[in-house]
Amino acid sequence: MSSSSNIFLRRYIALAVLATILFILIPLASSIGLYRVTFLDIYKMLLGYNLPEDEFIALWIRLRRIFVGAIVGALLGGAGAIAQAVFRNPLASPFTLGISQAAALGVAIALIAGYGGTATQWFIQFARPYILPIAAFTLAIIQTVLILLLAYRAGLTPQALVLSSIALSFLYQAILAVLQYLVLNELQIATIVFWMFGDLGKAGNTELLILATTFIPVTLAYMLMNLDLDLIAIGDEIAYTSGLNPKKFRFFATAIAALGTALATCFVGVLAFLCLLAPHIARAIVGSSHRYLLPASMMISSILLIAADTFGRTALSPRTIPAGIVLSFLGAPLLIVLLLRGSRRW
Amino acid sequence: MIIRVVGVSVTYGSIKALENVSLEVFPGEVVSIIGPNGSGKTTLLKTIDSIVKPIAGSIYIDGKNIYNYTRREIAKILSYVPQRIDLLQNTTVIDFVLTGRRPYADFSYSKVDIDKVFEVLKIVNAEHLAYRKLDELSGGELQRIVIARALASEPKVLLLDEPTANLDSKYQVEIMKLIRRLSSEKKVAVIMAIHDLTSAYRFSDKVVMIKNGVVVSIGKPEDVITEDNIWRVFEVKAKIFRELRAVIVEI
Ligand SMILES: Nc1ncnc2c1ncn2[C@@H]1O[C@H](COP(=O)(O)OP(=O)(O)OP(=O)(O)O)[C@@H](O)[C@H]1O
Ligand SMILES: [Mg+2]
Repeated sequence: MSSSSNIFLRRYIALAVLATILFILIPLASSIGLYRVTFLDIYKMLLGYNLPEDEFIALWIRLRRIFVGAIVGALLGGAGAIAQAVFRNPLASPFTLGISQAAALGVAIALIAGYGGTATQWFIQFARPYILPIAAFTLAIIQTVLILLLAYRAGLTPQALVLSSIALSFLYQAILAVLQYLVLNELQIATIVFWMFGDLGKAGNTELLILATTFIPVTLAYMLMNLDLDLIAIGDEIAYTSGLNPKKFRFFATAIAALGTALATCFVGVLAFLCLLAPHIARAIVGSSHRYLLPASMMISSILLIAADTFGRTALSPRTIPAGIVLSFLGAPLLIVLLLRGSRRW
Repeated sequence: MIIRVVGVSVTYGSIKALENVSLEVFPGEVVSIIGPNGSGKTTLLKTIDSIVKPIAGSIYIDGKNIYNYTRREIAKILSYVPQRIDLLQNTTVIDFVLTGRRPYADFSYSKVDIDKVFEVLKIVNAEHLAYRKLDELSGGELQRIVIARALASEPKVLLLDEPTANLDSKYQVEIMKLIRRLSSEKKVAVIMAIHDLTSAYRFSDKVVMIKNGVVVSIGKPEDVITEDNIWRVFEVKAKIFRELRAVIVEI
């Protein structure tokens, strides 16, 4: 049937369009800012042309945060799509399940314990940045186990699961606040509080390197799960009868999503709503087959994050609003719209 | 494929759901399981598909204990259709039916899988629904799609839990005719839990009547669905019109 290839072709086209937008957005976004450069300069730089050193540094810092945005966005967008499928819950995401906040708490604890680095006035320089993802992942996994226990043992409804996860994430923020008052001076408090609103400018070269190298295996792990995500989204019994162990897979998949979230969170902080919104937009564009949904959600998330960051950099220039805050402004109303629309169905 | 259920007992904690149930199902046979709410119909279907593990007794597929099959092998032989499925938004029929091909696919679905999807959609007369969203289908359309998904794995045995619940008379007949067609044309055995006694009477080769997890009667519809048995199991008076093959419950 020719129309069957049409529907799949349409999805590939949608993915190609998203990739093109992202590809254009990266140099475009980095050409916008206080230091005026053109689109072409960015390409020149990427192609290895020699630029004056000060120009190079200014550009690289901007480009670096956009690369960070692309990777972090993709990690979160994928994690959000996975969470929605395995919890069969349109409200599930690393953010609403408290995994992001748990990861942020892990980072804060590592920083406070002095393993991660020292706070400076403008950004946090990490003496040993690789400690941070490990700390973030540890707490993210603890939260993963907690929500799975809540889901299985207490047999919570989807809504109750999200509510209790949000309650837990408030708890994490409270722990963070207590730690601050007990341990930190005012300057340090300011940087940690900042952590609760993600900001792409926090990541440096080493951080980008860590993100870039871990991004590939995590994305591969996301994609390898695509058929099983389709199955578990239908129901545990159906998944089981089609040859999947749903409980094992749910834990495994959530752990991978938590890993992606921990990586995304540990260098830039919590980015509200992104991982919740991107999969919904992606679902509306390519449908709910994860082979297409995962990459679409990842790219949409990257695009949203870069756009939010660019807006935050330029709207009140020379002041910078962290991308996390811009996303909250965008995400909160969209979430409400989603709930209003969804209440008819769920 | 011959399915043999031998002396199976199932408990949920302290609740006894099935006790010493035995049953044989041959290729192309349509078997109806009837009994009151909570009598163990769903449990029996789940036990046959080894979703639920019995505390005693065994299931054999072609003489081999089901535990000696891998889950993937079982998935290619048996297909279970639960009574209700929860749907995520924006799921297209074709994607949903494709998931039925999972036992044959590893990383992605191929052209063969997609062709198979259209083949089963044709069997259930739903080719025209291929690109519709699941949440935009009528009850009867959805039921046909769910059956199509079960057929996509090319099963030898179809396990259906109340396939006609929530359907109007037209769709009920349509689904029952489809089941008969599958059994005669594709030699698929069908084991279904069903509440409508007339349908069970008309469309099945074998009827299993259970109460409180115990088989009360098993055999040909006319031998099992009798006024006596209905009184014993359902505690209602019924009238059976043999020439019409219909069961009417008296008030
Ligand atoms: N997961 C479970 N945990 C505990 N008890 C269960 C479970 N599933 C079923 N039961 C119990 O086992 C018995 C048989 O249930 P089953 O669902 O097999 O009945 P049924 O014949 O399908 O009923 P219905 O016609 O209402 O669908 C009932 O008493 C039920 O309460
Ligand atoms: Mg039942």
